[in-house]
Formats: sequence, structure tokens, C-alpha cells
Amino acid sequence: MPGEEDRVVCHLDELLAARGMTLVELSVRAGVTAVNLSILKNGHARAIRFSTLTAICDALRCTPGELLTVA
Amino acid sequence: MAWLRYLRVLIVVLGWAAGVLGVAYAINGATQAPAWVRVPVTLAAAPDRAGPVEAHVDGISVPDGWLTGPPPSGTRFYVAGQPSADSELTLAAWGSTRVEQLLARGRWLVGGLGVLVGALALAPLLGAIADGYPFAPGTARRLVVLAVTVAVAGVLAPLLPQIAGFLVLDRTGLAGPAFMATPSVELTPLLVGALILAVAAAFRAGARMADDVRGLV
Repeated sequence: MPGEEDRVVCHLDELLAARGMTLVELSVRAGVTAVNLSILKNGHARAIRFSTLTAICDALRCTPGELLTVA
Repeated sequence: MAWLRYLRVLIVVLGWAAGVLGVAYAINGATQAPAWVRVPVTLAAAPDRAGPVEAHVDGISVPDGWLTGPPPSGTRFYVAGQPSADSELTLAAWGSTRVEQLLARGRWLVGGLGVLVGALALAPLLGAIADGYPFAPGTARRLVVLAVTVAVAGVLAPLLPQIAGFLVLDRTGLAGPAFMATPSVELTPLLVGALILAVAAAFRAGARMADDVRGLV
């Protein structure tokens, strides 16, 4: 569970729903494992590699600011 | 890494076998008192002699030479005069006390318990490595336990029979200038323990690094 200092919110759920894509499809397109995507989606991630962020944004055709915001 | 899991099981089995057998062997010896006890003693060198120890064995004659080195088991031999170098011998004496018997078998007692404790400390570490989490919490602590066990058991195990030797020499009236009563301490177990402590420090650093990247996607 993220600590009190982890105020970064991941909007992967909303983006997937808006694009009509499943987590597995995103995993295939982005080349990121479904396990890691699930960790990100459920708010359990503590850090994200730039390569992972780039791959997800390319697959979802979004910007990092649309994927991650600070509460 | 299935072989690590098999190794873990093997180590635990061997550890328990060594521990149980070591304790049983020592207790068995203590229950036999008063009986024969075999202890290591050191026959002191004569200060005015030079040359190697000359040993003689019944029925063996070496032309133009002599026997030297550690005394063979199962043969009767005698040393010609007092040796020129301190010689390790085994003294077998009747009428042992329970303490003498326990200490005489102390190498097996302490060694067996040391192997058991070491195996119980090592097994979870091997399991963590097999599961892909070598820097799991507690790994460094278990390595410290292993290091202390190696050092303590390694030093104590050979020391206890020597202490038994002092007691037997005293009881039989042989303690004196002919036999030395200087305990020797093995340093190798201390060095091995220090090495394992260094590995524990490395694993502690690895655990910190693993914690830093936990949750990284």
C-alpha cells in the first residue's frame, strides 16, 4: 500500500475504458507484463521506469500527465 | 532452481542427523562412566634433543631408517626416549568421570549441534533464493547466526577434548613435565565466521536495494 507521501494517482482504469481496451491487450501492445500493469492499476506501484511509462503512453496514445496526476 | 530446494531438504536432514547423533553419542559416553576414555594429549619434547620423533612398532623393522610422524591406530608402538618435537598422542585411561566422557566426545556434541543450528539458519536462506527473493527480510540476520555458529562451534569442538585430556592427566597423576597442558585454539573457524559476516553485510545492503525497487514497474 502506498505511504502517505505517495500522492500520485494512476488513471489507467479510465484510459483503458475510454479506449475500449483490456489490460491484457495493453500488455501485448506495450510489451509490459500484465502483472506490472495490474500493480500500476491497483495503486501498488512505488516507481515507474521511463521505458514503461513511454510504452504505456504510446499504446494508449496519451501523455504522462493524463496517465498520472498528483492528488 | 529446483536443485536449491533439494539441497535445502538435504541440509535440514543432515543437520538434524548430526545434532541428534552428536548429542546421543556424547550422552552415551557419559552413561558409560566409569569406563575407558580416550583423550588427546601432547607428549612434550625434550629440550636437549634434536631430530624427529622416533617411533617403534612391534613386528616392524625399518632397515637403515625409522618410523616417525603421528602414531598409527591399532598397533602397539613405543617412542624411544622423550621425543624432540611435541607429539600428539591418544591417552586411553580407565575409570573416567561423566564430565571426562562428555568433554572427550565434545567434538561430536558441539560439532553436531553446530551443524544443526547452521542448517536451520541456512535452510530458509536457500528457500528464499530458490523462490527468487535472495534479499528477503531476515536473510542477513540468518547469515550472522551462521557466522557465529561456525566460529563458536569451530573453536569449541576441538577444545573440549583437550580439556578432557587435562582432567584425565590430572586424575591419573600423569600431569607433569612429560605431558604438555597447553590448549590450542583453531583460528580457521574465526576467519570463516568473519567471511560469512562480510557476506551478511553484503546481503543487508542488497536487501536495502531490493526494498528501494520494490513496487517498481
